[in-house]
Amino acid sequence: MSYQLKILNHPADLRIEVEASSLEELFQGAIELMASLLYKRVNELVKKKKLSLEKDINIEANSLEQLMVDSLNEVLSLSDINNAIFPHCEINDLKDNKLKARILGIKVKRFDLEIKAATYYGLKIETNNRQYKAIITFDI
Amino acid sequence: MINKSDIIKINDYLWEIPKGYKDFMKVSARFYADEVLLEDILKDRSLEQLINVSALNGIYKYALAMPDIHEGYASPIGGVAAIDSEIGIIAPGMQGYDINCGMRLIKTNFEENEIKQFLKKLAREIYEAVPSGLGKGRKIKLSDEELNNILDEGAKYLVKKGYGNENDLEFCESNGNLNYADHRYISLTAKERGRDQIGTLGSGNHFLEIQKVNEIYDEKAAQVFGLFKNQIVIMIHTGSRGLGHQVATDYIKKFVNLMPKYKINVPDQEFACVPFQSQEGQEGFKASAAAANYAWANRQMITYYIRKAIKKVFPSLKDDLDILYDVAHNIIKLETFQIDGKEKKLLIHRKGATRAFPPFHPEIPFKYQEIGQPILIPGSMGTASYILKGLKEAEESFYSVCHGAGRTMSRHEAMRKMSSQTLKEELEKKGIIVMVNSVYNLAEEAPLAYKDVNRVVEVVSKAYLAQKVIQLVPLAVIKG
Repeated sequence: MSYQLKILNHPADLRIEVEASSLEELFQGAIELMASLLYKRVNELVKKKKLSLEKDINIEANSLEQLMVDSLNEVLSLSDINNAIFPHCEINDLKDNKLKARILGIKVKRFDLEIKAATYYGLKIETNNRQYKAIITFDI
Repeated sequence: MINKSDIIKINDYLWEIPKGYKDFMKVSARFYADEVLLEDILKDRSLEQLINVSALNGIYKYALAMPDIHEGYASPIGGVAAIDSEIGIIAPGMQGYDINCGMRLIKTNFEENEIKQFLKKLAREIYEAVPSGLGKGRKIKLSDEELNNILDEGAKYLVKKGYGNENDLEFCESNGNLNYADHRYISLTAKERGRDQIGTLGSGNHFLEIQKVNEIYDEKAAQVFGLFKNQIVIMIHTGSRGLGHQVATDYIKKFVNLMPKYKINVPDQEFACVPFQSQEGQEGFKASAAAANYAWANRQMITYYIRKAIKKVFPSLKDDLDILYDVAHNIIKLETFQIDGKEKKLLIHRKGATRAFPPFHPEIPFKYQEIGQPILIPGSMGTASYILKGLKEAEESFYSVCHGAGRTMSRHEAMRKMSSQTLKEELEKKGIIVMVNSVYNLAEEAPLAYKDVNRVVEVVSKAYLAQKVIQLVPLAVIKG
């Protein structure tokens, strides 16, 4: 899977750009990259320990943009409740503004960053030459 | 981007973007700043965001912003919208995700020289007593009944259970309890997030500071507030934690989907809103109040932990430490104003703005009636904080003032410009004790990432929104 993360400038909150070569990868990338924002040493952790937490998410929305925000917020809620990060996401179905996915995670002692929510502010999902791009602002 | 030439200077501290600047504006947008702060404000998108606030249905008189205004999402941070409660909307994004993020100040009777040698021990005890950071050291797991009681009654419930005294409620905005709150409008997910976060500080810009009274500007007000030179006080900055974030998330999502039903258009989806008088609007209002109650209970439980920590260091201490005041800076509340000789209820949305009631206002404690409400303004890390008093002239800002210094730089840029270790060393060189869970992110909150709080407070004072009573300086910083 290939996706890329870029941190954009925002004076108070966290604005990111995610790029991927398909819509599925874009959603997968946004969810997995959020784990690396919550917990910086995610790669080290994943190498050492098994992702023992499994959660299914089913989200329906009125637009693709809303689906992105709602999906990220669902994962954030699960992270907060379980004190866990979810660095692995399997997209099972993504069409008609509906997402079915399984996320795999691991408990952490503490997060490095408090993300309060993914917001609709300045939210964009664009496609160009088979590249998909999302710009997302998190309240931190 | 807005240019300076688009802005009308009302006076040296007040500026206006007139109603006609954009077609969708329903009222003018006004903000408080001096020339220096204005230059900072023009560097980000905060004024564009303020213009968007002016488009909200039912907005009364002006979209307003305080001198610590900076770019957020939906409203700028520092934004205030007074909405006509009969015809207007309720917009959760206009108070932000950290519902009832706010400040509390605890007073001791110690002078600095009496406890200087114990300061490090005291800071350590407080650091260990109050769970800070993210997901660390959660001490209490609430039952469903306890959580529902907190949502409905706020700090009042904890005081009834022995975690404080009646005076704590007296010196708290709304007595720490919005009585129209209703836990039935809080989702199970939000409750699950809130179950083990009561009495926790969180991270980001939240903090505890041991401070001393450094300067007194208004002797009479300081005396009534029970403040004296070199006095040791403890400042708390935190909010409703994951529960509040989830309540905001739930209702913003709900309202995004409801806007077509009510034929509401907003310039930015994050302003998702419904008519305040609609059933959904009333439910959102009650849910927001429940999250606000949770935040007051959170600061109450932290106060309880702090009192225990202080008694551990000073076992002979007999009385509970008093609270100067507790006030929110992210909140939606109905407040009463005299408009054209009649009482009118406005739904005040404050996002990064502090309520600042004047003398003789019925909603401030009897003890402060002649002085006005104490207003708690924190500085950035390692810099001064202020206690102000409310003024009647602040009616023009719907009795709202700034909530801090206001950011000028992203957290990433701050981290690029200064290492956290260097910042820690600089604070320690100034004699400030630093207790943090992880030094790694400390520089995100470096003073260089913020406006000068002294200037922000000076603008508030010169605009006659509030007056300075005392200045506080930090002796110990405790962060998650």
